[in-house]
Amino acid sequence: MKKRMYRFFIDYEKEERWVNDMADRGWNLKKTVVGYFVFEKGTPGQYIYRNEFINRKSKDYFEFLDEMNIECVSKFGGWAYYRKPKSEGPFEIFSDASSKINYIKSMNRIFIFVLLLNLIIGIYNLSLGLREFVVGSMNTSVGCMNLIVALLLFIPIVKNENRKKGLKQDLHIFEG
Amino acid sequence: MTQEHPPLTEGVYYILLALYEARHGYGIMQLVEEMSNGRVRLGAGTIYGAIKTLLERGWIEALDGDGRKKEYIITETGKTVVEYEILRLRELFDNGIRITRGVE
Repeated sequence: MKKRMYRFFIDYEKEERWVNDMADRGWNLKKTVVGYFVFEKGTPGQYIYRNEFINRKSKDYFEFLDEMNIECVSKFGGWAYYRKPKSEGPFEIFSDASSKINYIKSMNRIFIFVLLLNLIIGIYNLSLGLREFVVGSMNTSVGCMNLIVALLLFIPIVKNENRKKGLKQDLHIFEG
Repeated sequence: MTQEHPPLTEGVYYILLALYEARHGYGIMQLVEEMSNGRVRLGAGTIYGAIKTLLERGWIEALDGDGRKKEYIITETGKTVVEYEILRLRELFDNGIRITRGVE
């Protein structure tokens, strides 16, 4: 039995928690494409799921995960979902503060770049749209879209910065 | 003792120890978990990142294998780093015991 759902998350950690809640209720994620999720009926609490931002991750990395008995269930648009049977114990992709910080840094670098790109293009489109009232309506709507994307990216960027700050504080007293 | 190398992270220290014998990623993870009685569970992403950095530094090297699973082993430089770390840990341990008069 399959269940298809649309759900949009701004925070990737919240999304991961929700996917794990579904797994605990017996719905195992099979595929996800930005906000669209396909679950398959299974035993409740069978798997632990983790997501990862995988921009520029090599084939080598996925082979490595495979060797570690980590199953990659879905890969789309820079994001991957992995799972491991719960019976094998706790499952995290990053286990210490320094590797978590590196991960967040590389994610935010891309997020900030895409945000700035959308901001610049958005403002440019809006300025074109506002200049030519009727013909420019297309520019206005595209420009608004750009600004919405920029705003939606702003939230995870700020959350990531806060996570990074917390981890860096830990590094002052703990080894990671 | 001068600070020749900064302290290693627990993960890197255990990964280097695990590679005194040739191992692949999964073998490293298992041995580290076993040695620490389940206390240290290294994440796959953390091990992968550490292996890449250690290869760049020349502390470990990849063995040419025909199999799909890549194996790694510690180099002489890597061993020097571990030996230095053990001295540092002994200093920490000895001072701890001396001042607290041991743990019972």
